[in-house]
Amino acid sequence: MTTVLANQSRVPGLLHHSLLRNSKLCHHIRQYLQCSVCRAFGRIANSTRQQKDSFFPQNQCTLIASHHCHARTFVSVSSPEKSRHVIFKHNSSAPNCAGLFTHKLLSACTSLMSPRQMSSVKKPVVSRFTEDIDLDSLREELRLERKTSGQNVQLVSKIKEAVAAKCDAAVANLSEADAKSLKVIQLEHNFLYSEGYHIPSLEEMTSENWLEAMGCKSKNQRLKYYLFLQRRKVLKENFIKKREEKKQNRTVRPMNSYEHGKIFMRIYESTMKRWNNYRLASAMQYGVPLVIDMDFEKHMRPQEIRNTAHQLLDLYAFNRLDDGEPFHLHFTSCSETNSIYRMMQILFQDNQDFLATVTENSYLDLFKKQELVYLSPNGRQVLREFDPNTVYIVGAFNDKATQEPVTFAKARQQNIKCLRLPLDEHISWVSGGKDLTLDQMIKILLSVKKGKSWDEAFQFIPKRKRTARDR
Amino acid sequence: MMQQFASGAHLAHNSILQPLINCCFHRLRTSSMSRLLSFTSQSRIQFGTGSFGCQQHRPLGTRTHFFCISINDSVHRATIHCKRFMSSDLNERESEWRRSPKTSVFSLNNRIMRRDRTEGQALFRDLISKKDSGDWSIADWDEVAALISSNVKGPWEALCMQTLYADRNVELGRSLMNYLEGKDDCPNRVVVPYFIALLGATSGENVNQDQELKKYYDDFMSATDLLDAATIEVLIKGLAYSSHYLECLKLLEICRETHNPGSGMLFHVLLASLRYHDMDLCELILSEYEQAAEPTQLQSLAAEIVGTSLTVGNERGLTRVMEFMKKHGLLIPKKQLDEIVETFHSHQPGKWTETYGYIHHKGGNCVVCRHQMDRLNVTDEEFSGLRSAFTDQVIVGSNIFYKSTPEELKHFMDFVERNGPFDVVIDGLNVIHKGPKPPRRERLERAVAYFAEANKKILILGSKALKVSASNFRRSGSKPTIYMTSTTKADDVFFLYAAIHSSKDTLIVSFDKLRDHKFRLERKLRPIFHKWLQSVQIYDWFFSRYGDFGIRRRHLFSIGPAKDDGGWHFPVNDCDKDAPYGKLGVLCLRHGKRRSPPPRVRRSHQKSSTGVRLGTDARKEWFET
Repeated sequence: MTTVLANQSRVPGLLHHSLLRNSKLCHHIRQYLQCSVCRAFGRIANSTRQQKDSFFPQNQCTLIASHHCHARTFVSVSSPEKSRHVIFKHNSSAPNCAGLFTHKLLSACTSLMSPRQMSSVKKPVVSRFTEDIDLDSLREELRLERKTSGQNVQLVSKIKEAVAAKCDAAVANLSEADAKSLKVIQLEHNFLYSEGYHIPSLEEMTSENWLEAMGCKSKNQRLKYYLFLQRRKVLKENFIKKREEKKQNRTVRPMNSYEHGKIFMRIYESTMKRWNNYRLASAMQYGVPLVIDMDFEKHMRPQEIRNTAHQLLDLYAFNRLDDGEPFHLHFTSCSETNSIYRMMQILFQDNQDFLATVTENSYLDLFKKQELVYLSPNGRQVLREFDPNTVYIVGAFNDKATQEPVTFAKARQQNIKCLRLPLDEHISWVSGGKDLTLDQMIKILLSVKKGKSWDEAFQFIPKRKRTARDR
Repeated sequence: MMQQFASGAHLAHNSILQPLINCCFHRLRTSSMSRLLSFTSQSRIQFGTGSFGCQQHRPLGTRTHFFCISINDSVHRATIHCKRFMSSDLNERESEWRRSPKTSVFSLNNRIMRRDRTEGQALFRDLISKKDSGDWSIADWDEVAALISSNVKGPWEALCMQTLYADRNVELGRSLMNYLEGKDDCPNRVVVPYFIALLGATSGENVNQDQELKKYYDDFMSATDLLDAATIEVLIKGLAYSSHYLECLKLLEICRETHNPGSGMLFHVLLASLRYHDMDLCELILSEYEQAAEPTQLQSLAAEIVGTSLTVGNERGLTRVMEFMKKHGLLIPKKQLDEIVETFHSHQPGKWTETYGYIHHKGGNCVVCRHQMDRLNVTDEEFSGLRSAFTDQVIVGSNIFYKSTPEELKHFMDFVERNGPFDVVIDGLNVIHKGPKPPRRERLERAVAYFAEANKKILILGSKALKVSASNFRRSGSKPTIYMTSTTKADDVFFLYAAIHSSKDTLIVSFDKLRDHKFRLERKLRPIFHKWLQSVQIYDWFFSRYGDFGIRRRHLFSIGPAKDDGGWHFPVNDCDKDAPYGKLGVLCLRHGKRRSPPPRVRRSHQKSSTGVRLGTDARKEWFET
């Protein structure tokens, strides 16, 4: 599944550079669109499910749709072997079509985590209760609410509310054994609270918290979870308090209050966003690909999956903000059941400009094996210099739960070249493992891509991990 | 808050704050500091208001860093002011710092315990100290209830009972229980377990108190249909100290319905088994430790085990627990050993003489008393079990690609079958890289020459970096078998496989501790693997001034804990950066007064440890494991 954004005039270029690597499907698209791009857009945008079959051969495409809210047309095509999504920016709206991409994006949020091997109660709570939430109606509800109240309510908070309601229902309908277990856990919580631990009180505990606590294996694990909840609450309160204080202390001077008129041109945030998106779109046509392998879901616990999704958000943001040429990000192995992908979608909910290739296929289906290089801290050979003709793979993996060389093992299993960054050669480590977070990794890769030295690039590694000499 | 700053010399006189400072200064671990403060507040340790400085030597060039700390006297809050500066300009900087408003401040809020709770405890203790020693009336308790309820969230009686348990104040505990029973509403669920724990902790041999405990326990159990792990833990703390300790087994069973009992529960039951000479229970708990909990947790509890056993005169139980520790190769921290010495002295004053020494690595004698320690011996049955499980559990594990590839493994297995068995397996890259930089290939060549001289069949494991060495070996005439793996970092499993499939006595030359491989094995095989590895591994070698290879220290003998006719030997946990395998240190506890050790029989060719090469005969003897 490939996602491309472009202006109308750029479509042929897009097809040429981004889609026509190895797909028959793209051939059909090009055949259809080659004469008149605009006309094609109009027809695609106004087409229905029945009509699309006339555009593309049977079994080669499943749905063509558009998203009317943002004046964009999403063309979504999938073949039996490979699924591809194409987003074209278009001014015409198509209110009759249901947006598949948007639909998929939203419906994917409904099942945050994949079903685990654990018993029904011990599965990650959010995963179970987001599965059948109708996000389309939720979104519509949100739109109306925004109109009436004028407040910018986030979809995430709506999802949270829906999950909370489902958790309440689940707690009310527990089986006999689970109800007993919950009762025991509540007694234990009461005991711990009476002992003076800094944990939420019984009133502050929600049904979701209880269900999460039921998934913990021991008393100490539960206590740690309660302490974490309390700490998170305190941090949140402090953050809100600080923000309010800042708001009160801030004095805003209107732009037109300056004497001698406006001497500086004001660049609005939306303009900057457009520039950044333009760079990303350009990178998707001509840029160096960077693969983010999302196939490590089974090696991580729910909290690490959450953490990884946040890191991926940072990775995307840093790549977009790069002043040079950003990478063309390929998120591979993003199946519908992939928890990392779904959590990422939740976090990207309100951001319509996600400009990256997202596919449920492996990178082996997208690129030649000889072009691929897996970057792993356990790699035996060293990456001496950045090669723009190579497709580098970075694993979306948080290794708190397991210390196994997961990425290295995968590369070896697939017979892909595996390299490590020259950390030992350029910096002396004080402590800790030599594995980096995804945001550090993208910063380093962006630096070396621009031609900076490794020493400069490694300045993004936290100081605490380096000796004074390297700081 | 007061802020006075003093130099590091003041610290030496403040024994209470010393651990506090040490803890804090170890990279400013605020969480540790917070816990320590919590502990001091709970234990009612008073420390004065003031500020202290301390110097910290860190390997950052030639700099010596000085930190200063200011601690206020609030029970649950502390503020650390710290700043680092160089020793050369200490005086100037110190005075500057005193004036400086830019001092970085780390506020330590107690994150684990609630502040109102700690303050409530302090308040209650103040009330106790102000009251006369006479009985507390209902009005007194009413006053306490009103005062604490207004300041503290949660039930006041739970706070009071928990505080009384911490202070072991049984009289006031009874008074509180009587007060609560006099009221119509049933007491809080936390109060009764803590009162039971208080009765148990203070019972001694008091039969009446045991009966009282049993009565409260029965009442509590009859009134309760469900029990949680936290309540069970507190109940066990009480029952384990009474003659009704077998009730703990029932509680453990109840606990097992929801999750496995933790080490905290098991340890109290183990102490009960020692206290009441119940060897069956002792065996049960030790097997539970082996199967479900982690035996290493006993290391830091050794002093209490010894203390309990000596108090009740249960030598058999003590010996059994120490055997268990010996089986798992547990080393006892120095602090625990000091407590053990104190315990021995307090129970049998004048009978014991303690000396810290070590077990001679070659002869296996204690250098203090010349007692001969047992040689580490893995039986054939144990070794065959280890051998059969090794490939599946360690090499293949959950994913063979973590360590190797199926092709590489098969190739290596065929290779070992074809070329084995070997007498010595050398981790080539480890030998080349150990020692001062840069790594030298000659080191490996010297090591090979050393073993080749003794007619040993040698296997060298390494990467393609050994290609040059291979041609050198060919020229020199020593013909070791060399296997080059594609995985330089994960070649441990290969030399372990080669050694384990050669013979029980095949030597392994490697500096690696190989602990990760131990923990891949199933629990019952871990101590066997540890023992086998200790007996065959050569980890401490040197090169003489002439460049000759020599072996310094080996771990051929057990270092305890072990009992003999003359007393005890307890192993000291003396592993550090210079000696990661330890120095075979022991605490030698002997009956009677200090005597000079019996004369040592001097052998020929025993100077290997000082750098002189062993003769061929002696070397052969040295290899016999």
